Amino acid sequence: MDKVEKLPEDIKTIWRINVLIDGFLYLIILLALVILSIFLPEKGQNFIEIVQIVVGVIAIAILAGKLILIPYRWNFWTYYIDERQVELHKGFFFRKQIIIPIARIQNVTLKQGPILRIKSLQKVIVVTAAGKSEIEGIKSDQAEALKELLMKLAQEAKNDI
Amino acid sequence: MISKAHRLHPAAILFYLYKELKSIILPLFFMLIALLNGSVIIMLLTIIGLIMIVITHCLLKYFTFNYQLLDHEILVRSGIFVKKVNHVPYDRIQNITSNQWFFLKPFGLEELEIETAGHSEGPEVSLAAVSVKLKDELNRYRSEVDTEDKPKNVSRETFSGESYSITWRELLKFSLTSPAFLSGLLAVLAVYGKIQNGISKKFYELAANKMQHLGIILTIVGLFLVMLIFYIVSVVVLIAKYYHFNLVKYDNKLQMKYGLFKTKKTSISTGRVQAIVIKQTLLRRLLKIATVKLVIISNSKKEDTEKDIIIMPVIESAQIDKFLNRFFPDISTYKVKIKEPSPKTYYYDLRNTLIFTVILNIIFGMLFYKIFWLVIIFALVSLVFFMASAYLKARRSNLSIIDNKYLYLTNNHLFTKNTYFVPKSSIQIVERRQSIWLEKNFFAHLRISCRSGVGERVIMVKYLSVDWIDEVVGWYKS
Repeated sequence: MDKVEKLPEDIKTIWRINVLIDGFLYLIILLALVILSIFLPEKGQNFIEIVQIVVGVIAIAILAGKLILIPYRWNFWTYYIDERQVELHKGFFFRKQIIIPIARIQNVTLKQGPILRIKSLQKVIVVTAAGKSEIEGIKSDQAEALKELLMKLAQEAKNDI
Repeated sequence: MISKAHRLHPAAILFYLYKELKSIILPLFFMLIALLNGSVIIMLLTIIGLIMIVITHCLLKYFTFNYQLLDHEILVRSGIFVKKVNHVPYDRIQNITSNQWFFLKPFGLEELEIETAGHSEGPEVSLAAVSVKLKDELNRYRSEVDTEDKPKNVSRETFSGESYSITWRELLKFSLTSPAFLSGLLAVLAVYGKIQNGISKKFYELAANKMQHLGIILTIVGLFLVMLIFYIVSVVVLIAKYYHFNLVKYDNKLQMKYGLFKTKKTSISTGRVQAIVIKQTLLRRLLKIATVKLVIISNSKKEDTEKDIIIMPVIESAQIDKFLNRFFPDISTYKVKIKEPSPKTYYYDLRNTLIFTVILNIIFGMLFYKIFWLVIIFALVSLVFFMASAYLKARRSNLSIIDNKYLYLTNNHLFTKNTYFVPKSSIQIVERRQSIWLEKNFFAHLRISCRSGVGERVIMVKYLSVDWIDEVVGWYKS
């Protein structure tokens, strides 16, 4: 695994589904506002209308932005693991490079929600004594292998000290 | 070597009483206010009843509490209805703190707090009043367990006799420049707010009427006097608290002893130290004094900066290097190279703050546009305040790799300068942040996380030359 790797292409679908779910949440908020406006007097209705428009516009902007940025996000989300450290790289405009030495890893958590399960992906969370970082989703068998590798390396690194 | 179960010294009953009374005094006060209009007999009866309950509770607590020193653990039994038996193995004890009030000294008694790494709030075991000999006895048991388990390690560093005490001059400077009285004032204001709700309206109106007669000058003088009293009280409290602060290092342990009325002794093993922080507020920087603190792993869930342990409340700036050399010989302070901050760093920090301040002022202006002078004053004050802090931030953001073990970092929080010495071994995660625009200008941010208390401590420096940051990233990777 000694090279920089990208997340699997399938993760893009997951992200799209997530955007869809977010969209539903906004819809529910809007719906609640509509229901609320029925019970309000004339004056309040005008105000609610403005709120509805504002929420709607913001929601559409956020959702569209997220959808458009998915390829960008995928393209610049990479990770790299060797026997000394785990490195995560995120973003192009705002770049983040996170370095976690293998010896500092306390435990590795694999997580899979219903959406990730559709594409048989797993989320890998690398936990240190202070804070944690996550790889948002990789193939299940790959995640298992990664976990084994990380734990093996962590064990070796611990023995070194 | 198994000793039988011991009770605490009877003086512990007084301690329990004091603590319980302290905890019910405020509710009691409000209750009395609520009962103020009722009959005197009812009031007296409730007070007597409550006191009786408290006394019986304390007595029961005392008679159901005992401790026993076994070969490998200390056993503490407590509880009136729910019996609790607490086993604390000696090798799990993280530190033992002893508190001794001055009036207990002639009786050779003190309070012992035994702390483990467990995630319980406060000390695992608290022995309210025991003989001073117990601590030595405990330490003997601990060291016996220690030598049993580990093969004798010859190379273990033992610096005995390293000791440092603060001088009167330093202590005075420290107490006089402490902003602690402000927080005390805030607390009192908060309590006042609560009381205001509790007191009947009639009484409040009466007081308000009186205040009107006093006139504005008297009110200001009164306020000033209250501030002054708070200030003096806080100074006295601080002097009493840190009186004769003494730090001793032996056997990989740092031991602190301080206090005038209540002598507190506590020790930390150097293995728990995650980083060393030197804090300097603006006023103290002018007086050339600083505070040395340690970031440690403990079971404290307090706020970030509160859980840092003060190992030297005040020290003259010129003495810091010498102090560090004596107590932390690993840090070669002479190797710290402080680089000149780049003009671009100033530019970024000042620009960001300016944008923030302008937005803040626009919002403020929109809210209070009717009171023109207030908006102007707010604009001026906020501009000076934030820009000065941004300037200091740019000036104080610095880092330097001391050697392959330690990293030197400085940053600024409002007007306080923080200097960190972080060992590589305690850095858990390093994060380098950079936006594409910063990349063009060869700048980046660095974010480091360490352990602190039960959680995480983040140290961040922003807008530094990318070479410096990359050097640290490379240093950390190797």
